[in-house]
Amino acid sequence: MSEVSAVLAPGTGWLLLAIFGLAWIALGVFWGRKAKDFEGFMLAGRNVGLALGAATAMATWVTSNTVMLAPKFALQMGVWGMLAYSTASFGLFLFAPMARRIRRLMPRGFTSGDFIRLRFGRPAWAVFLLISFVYSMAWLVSMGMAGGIVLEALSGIDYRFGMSVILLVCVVYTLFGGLYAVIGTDFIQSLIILAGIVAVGAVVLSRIDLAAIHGNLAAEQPMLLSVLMPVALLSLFNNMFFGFGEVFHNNVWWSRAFAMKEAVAHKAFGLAGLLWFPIPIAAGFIGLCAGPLGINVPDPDMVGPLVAGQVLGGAGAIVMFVVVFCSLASSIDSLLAATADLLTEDVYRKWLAPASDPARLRRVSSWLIVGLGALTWALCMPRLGDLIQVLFLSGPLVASAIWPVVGGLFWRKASGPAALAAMLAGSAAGLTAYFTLGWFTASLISAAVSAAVMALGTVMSKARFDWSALDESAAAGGGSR
Amino acid sequence: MTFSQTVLAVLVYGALAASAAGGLLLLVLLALDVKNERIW
Repeated sequence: MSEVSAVLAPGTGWLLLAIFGLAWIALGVFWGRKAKDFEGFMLAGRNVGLALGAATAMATWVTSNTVMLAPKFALQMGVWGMLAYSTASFGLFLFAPMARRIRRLMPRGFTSGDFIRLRFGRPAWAVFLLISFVYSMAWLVSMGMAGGIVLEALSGIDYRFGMSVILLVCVVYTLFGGLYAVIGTDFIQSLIILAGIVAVGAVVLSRIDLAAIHGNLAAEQPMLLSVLMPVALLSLFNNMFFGFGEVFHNNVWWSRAFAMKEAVAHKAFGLAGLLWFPIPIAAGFIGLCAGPLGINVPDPDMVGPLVAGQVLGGAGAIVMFVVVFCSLASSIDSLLAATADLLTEDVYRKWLAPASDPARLRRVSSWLIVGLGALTWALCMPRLGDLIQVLFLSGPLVASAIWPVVGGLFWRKASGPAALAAMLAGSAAGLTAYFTLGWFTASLISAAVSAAVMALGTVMSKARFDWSALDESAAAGGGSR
Repeated sequence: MTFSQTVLAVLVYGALAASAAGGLLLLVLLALDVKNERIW
């Protein structure tokens, strides 16, 4: 880690943290003034246009993992490693038609939990909420830890301080601005991430010829150029199904579908997929440059910043620092907002206090944002490396929710018992595969078992779901809450 | 140029060009949304 920290002084790191942290907070407070009521705070008035909609979906999906792990995948699995990471964009593509259907079936819906409760009943809802909360916390903690580790590696800022500042900044601007702040900052962060990755890639290519990279790989690691590298191919499909599960079930994406104008929701997700697809390749290929440039890589997780720092010097390290900060902030703010929404709507309003008025729900949501930030901070503080594994462990859990969500949206015969059995059986099979066969099989097996159970349950079902039951505003006489 | 060289070149240059174009596209879409008052 110290090899890169030598490139960027801690003072420079603190200055960048201060500039961008204060900018996000100021913009969050400014945009947050638009949130006049609970629905505005939670769903940005349900009127988000194409540009902001596409940018927020893309930026949320670009995490620090995208920037840091794509070069590692390239380093370890070559060309297919980069492509494997890019397949995560397919989740956004496939969510596009689902977003359109969600907006039509649930014009006044709030969360993914609302859908599962109304579609499949309370037992499936409880399991779904548990899966969703475990995954969201794992994602939040992995982002918090990654932030502290990467900032320390790039600039020498102590892990505890870097991690704390990132979480604090995201909590403050999400608290003041709700989804308006999240979506507004996501747009700026999208542009910074794209510009930073293109700038680093272009300069690296100006310093080293692509033919030299290819020649070095062909001589030293020919498997990295092979189109039939078994582990890479398995990881490609596993990554793809993990991505499907993450996007299809999580309230981060459902809340965006509810927040966008009905006519643009599907276009925004499709465009976000297109924008996202090249990013792991553009960010990842510099991992292939380590060998030809003769750069020693003691920690594969750091190969991206290491190459950028060596090739571009201080400027490269600054760009990587800013790109990583934006990637972290754009995901953490979305997770804080969407998970607080899920707990406010599904646990507090629908379970604990159904008579709550919007003002009270707004206060509860704010406290939950603070609470989630504090819980994430407390879990990140001990810097337990094993916690990162929880994110990978959640892969089979979320993959088990793919078919219940798809079936619930499109198949009238899909039933609650089938969805519940599919999630339980898929999760159990996937977790077993994780520990016995390897991480690169877990999501695949979970999705396959869940699909079989869901298909069998649906074929045997005599249920005929009435789609209008998903529109709670119609059931309540057409009035919004 | 071998097949794998071509694949690598297409992937890398294509990804960088697509990322740059994506950023510009977002700016154009934002300008259109602002012009038509449908930003949010």
